Amino acid sequence: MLNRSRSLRFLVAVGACSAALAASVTLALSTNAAGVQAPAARDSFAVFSTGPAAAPEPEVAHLADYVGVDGTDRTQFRVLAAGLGRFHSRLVAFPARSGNNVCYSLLAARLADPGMSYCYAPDSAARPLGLAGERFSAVALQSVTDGQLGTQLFGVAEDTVSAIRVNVAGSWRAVQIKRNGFYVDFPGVAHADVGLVEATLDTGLKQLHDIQTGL
Amino acid sequence: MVRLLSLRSWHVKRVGVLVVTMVVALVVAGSALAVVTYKNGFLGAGGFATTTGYNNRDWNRAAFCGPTSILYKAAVGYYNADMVLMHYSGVVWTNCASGDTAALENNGYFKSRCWNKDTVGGDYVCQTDP
Repeated sequence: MLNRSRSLRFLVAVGACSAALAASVTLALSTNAAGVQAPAARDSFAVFSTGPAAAPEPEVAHLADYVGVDGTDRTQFRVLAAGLGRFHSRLVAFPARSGNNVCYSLLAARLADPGMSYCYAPDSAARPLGLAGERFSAVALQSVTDGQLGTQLFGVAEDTVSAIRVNVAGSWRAVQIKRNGFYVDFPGVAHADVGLVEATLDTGLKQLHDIQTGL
Repeated sequence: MVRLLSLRSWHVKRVGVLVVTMVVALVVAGSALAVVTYKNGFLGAGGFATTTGYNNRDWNRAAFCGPTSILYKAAVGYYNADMVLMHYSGVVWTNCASGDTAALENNGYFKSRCWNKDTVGGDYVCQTDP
C-alpha cells in the first residue's frame, strides 16, 4: 500500500515537472534573453494600435482564413488609405497569426478592377539573405484594364522607415508613406520597368528591394 | 375553425420562409467557401500551373508548400479568354507554413495561373475559386 502511494506520488511529481518544463519552454520561446515578452511584428506598425479598426473586408475572407487570422487579429484591420489611383482603391492591412505576420491588400472600388494581397512574417528567421531585416514590404501589381497596361506599387513600412522611393525605367520617384502604407499608380508602365524600391530608415540606413528579383 | 385555419396558414408560411432562408444561406456559404486547388505538388524552376478552364474567379492565391521553412518565390496571374495576362502579382516570397502568401483579389472570368519563380523546383499549393 505504501509502495503504491509512493508510485502515485512519483507519477504526480513527474507530471508536475513535465507541466512546469512545458510551461518554461513555452515562456522561453515567447520571451527574449532578458525575460521580456518579444514584441509581435504588428507592434512595429503604429497604425495597428491607433485609430479606429475597420471591418474585415469580405474580399480577403478566404485569405484571412488561410493565413491564420485569429480573433484578436480580426479586430485590428485598418484602412491605411482610400481613393487611390485609377481604380479608387483602398489599401488595407491586418495582422495574422497573433500579430506575428502582417497582411496588406489593395482593393479596388469595383470588384472587377485590379486587387492583390500579400502576407508575410517580417521577423521570421526563415527569410532569405537580402530580404531578412527589411523594414518594409513592397509589391507591384500589373494589370490590363480597358486595353491599358499599368502597374500599381504598394506596400507597408514599419515606423522606423522615414522615406521611400522607387526606380521606374531608370528614374527615381518619391513615394509618400501614410499610416504605415504607401502606394503609387503608374499608368502605362509595365511591371518589368519597376525596379528598386529604396527605404530610408530613421537611422539614415538605406535598404533596397528589387521588385524584379524579390531581393 | 377560421382562426385555426388562419393559424395553420401562418405556420406554413413561416416554415416556408425558414426553408428558403436556409437554402439561400447554404448557397451563399457554399460559394464563399468554394476552393479549387489547381496545383498541389511539384513545380520545376520557372514552372507554372493553370486551371483547366475559365470561370468567374474572386481570387487566386499561391504559396510554396514544401517540407522546409525556406521561402520560395512565387507569382499569381489571371488570363482572359484570349490568353492575355490581365493581372499579375510579380515575384513574391512564399511559404504556406509561415503564412507568406500572395493572392489576386479582383473578380472576373479568367484562367488562374501560379508560377514557381524560384531557381529550384519545389512543392506549391495554388488555389482559386469557385
